[in-house]
Parts: sequence; structure tokens; C-alpha cells
Amino acid sequence: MENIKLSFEKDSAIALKNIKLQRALNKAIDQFRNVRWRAVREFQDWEQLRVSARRIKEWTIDHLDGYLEMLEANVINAGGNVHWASDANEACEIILDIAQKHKVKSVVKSKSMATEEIELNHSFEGAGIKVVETDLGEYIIQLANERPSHIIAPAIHKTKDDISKLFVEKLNTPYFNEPEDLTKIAREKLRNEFLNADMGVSGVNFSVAETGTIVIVENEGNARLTTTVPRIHVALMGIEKVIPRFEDLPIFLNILIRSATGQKMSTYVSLITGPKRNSDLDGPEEFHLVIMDNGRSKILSNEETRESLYCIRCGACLYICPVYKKVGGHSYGWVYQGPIGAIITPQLLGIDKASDLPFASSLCGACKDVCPVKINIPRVLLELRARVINDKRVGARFLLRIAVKLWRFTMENTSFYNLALRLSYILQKPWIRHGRLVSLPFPFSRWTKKRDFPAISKIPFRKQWKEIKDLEF
Amino acid sequence: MISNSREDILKRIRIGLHRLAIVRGGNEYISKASSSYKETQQKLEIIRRNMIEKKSFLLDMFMNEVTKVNGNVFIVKSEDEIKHYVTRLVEEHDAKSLAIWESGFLKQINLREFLEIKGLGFVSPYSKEQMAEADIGITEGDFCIAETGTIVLITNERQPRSISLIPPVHIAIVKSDEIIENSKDLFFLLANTVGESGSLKNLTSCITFITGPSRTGDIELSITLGVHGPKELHIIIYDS
Repeated sequence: MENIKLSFEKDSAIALKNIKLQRALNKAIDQFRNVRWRAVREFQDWEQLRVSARRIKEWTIDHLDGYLEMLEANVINAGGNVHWASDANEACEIILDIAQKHKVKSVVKSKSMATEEIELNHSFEGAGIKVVETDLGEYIIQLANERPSHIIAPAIHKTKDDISKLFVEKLNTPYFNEPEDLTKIAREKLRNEFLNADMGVSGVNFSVAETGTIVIVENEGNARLTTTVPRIHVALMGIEKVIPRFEDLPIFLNILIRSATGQKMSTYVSLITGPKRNSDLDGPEEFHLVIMDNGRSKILSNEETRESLYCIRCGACLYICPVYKKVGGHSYGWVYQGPIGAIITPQLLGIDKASDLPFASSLCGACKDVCPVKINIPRVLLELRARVINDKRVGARFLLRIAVKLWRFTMENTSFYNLALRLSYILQKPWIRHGRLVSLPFPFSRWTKKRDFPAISKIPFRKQWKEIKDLEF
Repeated sequence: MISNSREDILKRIRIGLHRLAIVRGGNEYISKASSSYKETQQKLEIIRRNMIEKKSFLLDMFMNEVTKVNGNVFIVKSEDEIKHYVTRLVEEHDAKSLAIWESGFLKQINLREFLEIKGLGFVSPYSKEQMAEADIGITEGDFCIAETGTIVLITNERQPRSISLIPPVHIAIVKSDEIIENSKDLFFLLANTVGESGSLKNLTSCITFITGPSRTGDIELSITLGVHGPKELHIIIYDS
């Protein structure tokens, strides 16, 4: 993780020129927005539900240490094992250790952003253990050796033609172009993997402190197979996934599922408490819960950004974001994309490693409006922008820092402001094209490289405003 | 190597929250609005009364929702009709090998014996290899949610989880008086009825919610059924 250095600027420029990606994104996003809107509108007290969810999240995070201890005690009471991991390396070590102790040769995985975050597959592969992603989208991504581009729909950037060709190449199947045929191929291939696997690794959507239950939401059934068929089940969760009560679940299931896919209820919801009991006929013999920090307690320690931890990973802010719609998930460079990625990635990886991301937003606020737990993403983005500007390690921002200081000085001094405006009006003339400034010389070129600027008017706005006001009132 | 990560993480959280010590507590800590025994019983009573009084309304809603998520519903009035529908489905799918719950109601109507006489074989979920060969899995449902068309299956020694998961066809036999209006009521009911003496203590290993057959939208968001779980879900509602 130390070597990561993300570049939203570069990656998004490439994505914008990818016509196939643009088409895939447009289609998927328009369709999704409609479906989600319907699912939210038909729920009677959506707003009340959001308020309740938000309150429970606030309360839980404010008492997180107690709830994690309670969760631990109840998982153990149900016959499960609990492990604590401070960072990604430790989480990988713990899981690998469980695998090696049991001489595991093959692992099946259901979709989990946390395992993407720690790059668990690399660890398994490095130790010579076969690992297979079983969510259809993730399976496609794994075959293509790529990274997911959306937290809910990982292969959203791929067309069925891409997938057909991929299957021909990697699985030696004939060329099928219908989702139905492709799905059937995947089902058959993956069935064998499930039957042969010694260990299943899953994520956790919610865990319930008072019962020691983990909750997994899905549509395909692969998470059920992952947590039922192999003899060992390992679940990895971030510390923020815990909720206090069993009775809180309907609130969170409703907001998660309706926001994530626009369904009223996902096809499967599994409430898993410990391993199989002695008298049970099926289910895993061992259950391990790995509770991972990996930078989350740092987020918690800052009150300005603490609410980033309320995220339930529904993906609604991705679909609604005008920036995501244009640049797609890969531009965000890491596991979490879109507006939530823009606030979580810099906090988890370090602000110097993802200094572009807080700026990858127009601050339009759509993400805040759609967020089921009301995370004020634009406000957190502003806070992170301030951190980037003030971060000495982020050298590339030096010019920006000076520009902001200069800007502030100008805005605070009326006479200087007027002077600057007049000067700009005169100096801008050679660069005006159709009433706009499109390519200014250095250092202003850094602005006009990606966007234009309206030409400065002869009559300042304040003067215009005065005249309009006199006219109207 | 002994890791101190547990203490480290809890300490970091406490420092982050500007607290010196852990805040622990009993039930009040779990819920600020924890209600009294009497209130709980009254609320349960209302939910149960609703299930009876609004039965035909809930039944319609449930059937409508199941259909919307590509499930099939049959409503039957007698035990013979259950057997009739199961037989029809077995024949339609040319099924040879079945898996079935050994649960109360299915035992009571002798469904397994009935099908065995017809020459069908049964596999045990104890062997995953055998389960992989099963053509149809037959279960009951412990509860249903009308608003979402969901059936709720509680795992125990007679109700294994893979029977509703591994075979390509799942038949669930539910009773019309098990239908609850919404998930909020369902969770309230579960929270006060499952586990040891209805206290949520010592829950069974798994509670599964099933809403329609297995589906995916991972290829261009086009809905495809039966990706990992059953491709078909048939719910037979026994309304005596």
C-alpha cells in the first residue's frame, strides 16, 4: 500500500476519451437512477428512515469501543473466533494463517470491498493458494485481471461483447453474446469451485453487537454458497460495520437495498451467527470474524470527517454524481470510487497519496442529497481540500497555495480588487475567443488546460447589479 | 507472535472519541428506547392480530410481490393439493433426486413418504456432492413478508440451509397465517420470539431471507435468473 500514488487527473483524462466506457456508463447510470428513484419514492417515510439510520450510526460510532467488545463476546459465545487487525498487512496475515493452519488449497470469495482494500487475493496467490471470486461481476473482473469500477456493479464498464470475448479467451468457451448464456457458463464453472473449496471468505454488510450476527446482502446466492459449502468461513469487516441491535436491521436493510439496487429487498439476506451447530446438517465447521481498523480509527478521531464512517457502501452517490458518470470508477484509482471514494481514499491511504481526489468534484451536492445516511460529502471534501493545500508533502499544490493566498488578499482589499479587475480586463484581450478565455499563459494555463473561463466584463457585476436594482425596485 | 491489535484498536477509538475509559452497559446501552416487557407484549399482540385480521389483504400483497420478483405462487386449500402441486413440479422438471426439510409440517403431511412411493430418491444435505446432484429442494417457510414477497427460513437441525440454495429449483411450502406486513414488524417479532426463550440469546446459525429466484444484473444491468442459487422459486401457500 506504501507505493500507491493515485492520479485522478491523468486517469480521468483517459476515461473521457474512451467512447465504449462512456456508452456503458450512460446506459447503466440512466437505468439505475430511474429504478432507485422508484424504490425510494414508494417507501412511505424515506426521510424518516434516513434520519433514524443516521442517528443510529452517530450513536454507534460514538460508542464504538463498547459495541465492538459486545460483538466480540457474542460471536465467541456462538462458537465463532474473533481476530483484530490494525492494518491491511495484519488482516492478510491473520486470514492466511487460518488458511495455512487448515492446509487450505482453494478459496472461494464473495464480494467484499474490505478484501479488495487489503488486496487479499495477492496474499493468497503469493502463498500458492487458489482464490476465486464468485460474484459474477467480480469473476469477470478477476478473469480480465482488472479492478472493479463500481462498488455494487463491479463490471459496469464492460459490454456483453467484452465479456463474451473474455470468456472465449480465458475459459475456452464458444462465443455467446447473451447475458443468459454467459451467466450459465459462469454458474457451471463456479459450481465446481464451490464444491472443491476448503475455505470461503466473505465481507460483512452489518454486524449486530447484541447477537454476534453478521448480515450479508446479495442477489446471486454466491455469498450463501461461500458461507455454507466450504468447511471454514472467514468474514472480514471494518470496525464501522457494527450496529447495536437486531431490531435496527430493518432500517438498514431498507436504506441499503433500496439505495444500492432499487429493489425493495435483495434476493438473499443471510443472518449468520457463528459456525454450524453440532446438530446442523450443513454449514461451515469454523467461523472466523476479522475486525479491521486499517485507518478507520484515524478517520474517527477527527470530528470534521468522522461522518465518513457512517457510509454503508450502497453506491448511490456514485450513480448520482455527474463527475462519476463521465469518468467512471477506474479514474478514482482505488477500491472506493465516486464521491465516497473521493473522501474515503485520501483518508485511508493518506492525503499525499490521493491529493487529486478531494478536487474531483464540482461540489454540486447531489451525493449529499442522495446519501441514505446523510453524509455531508461536499463539506468533507472541502475539509480535505484544505488539508491538501496545507500539506507540505503535496509539492504540486505549491502554486495553488500561493494562488489561494493571493485570492484571499484580493478579496479582502476592495481597492486592490478593483484594480486587479481593471487590469485583467485590459490584459485578457489577446486571449478571448467567442467571449471566453480558453488558453491563458502560465501560470493561468493550469486553469484553462481543463476548462475555460468567461471573459471579464467591462462593467463589473457590482455596477451592473446597482443598475438592475434601480430598475426593478 | 502475540498481537496487541485488539487493545490498540480499542485504545485508538477511545482516544479518538476523547474518552478515558470504555463505556459499557446493559440493555439501556443497547437501546435508549428499550421498551418494557408489557409494552413489548402489547406490540406483539398487535402484530399477531394484524396477521389474522388483515390476512386476505396480506395474502394478496404477498402473492403480488412474489410474482413481481419472478417467483411463482400457488394457493392451496388442502394437503392433497400441496401434494398435487409438488408432483406436478417434479414431473415438469423430470426430477429424479430431491432434498427435503425434515420439519414439522412437511412431516405431518408425509410429503417425503408420498414422493418416495412415487419412486423419487432423496439426498442428504450432509453431503455436498450429493446435494449438487439434487434437482429440486423442498422447504417450509417460517415467516413471510407481504410488502416485499420474502420468505424467511430459520436454520436448525431439521431445516438445513443448502436445500433452499443448491438445487436449481426451490419449492417452499408456507402457511397463509405466517404472513407479516413489513420487515419492521417481522424483525420485532423475531427479536422477541427467536433464540432462547425468545430473548435473541443463542440464535441458530443462520436465518435466511429469500425474495424470488437468484438473480444478477452484472452484465450490462440486464436481469438474468439463476446465477448461483435456484433459477426457479415456487411458493405453495397453504390457506386452510
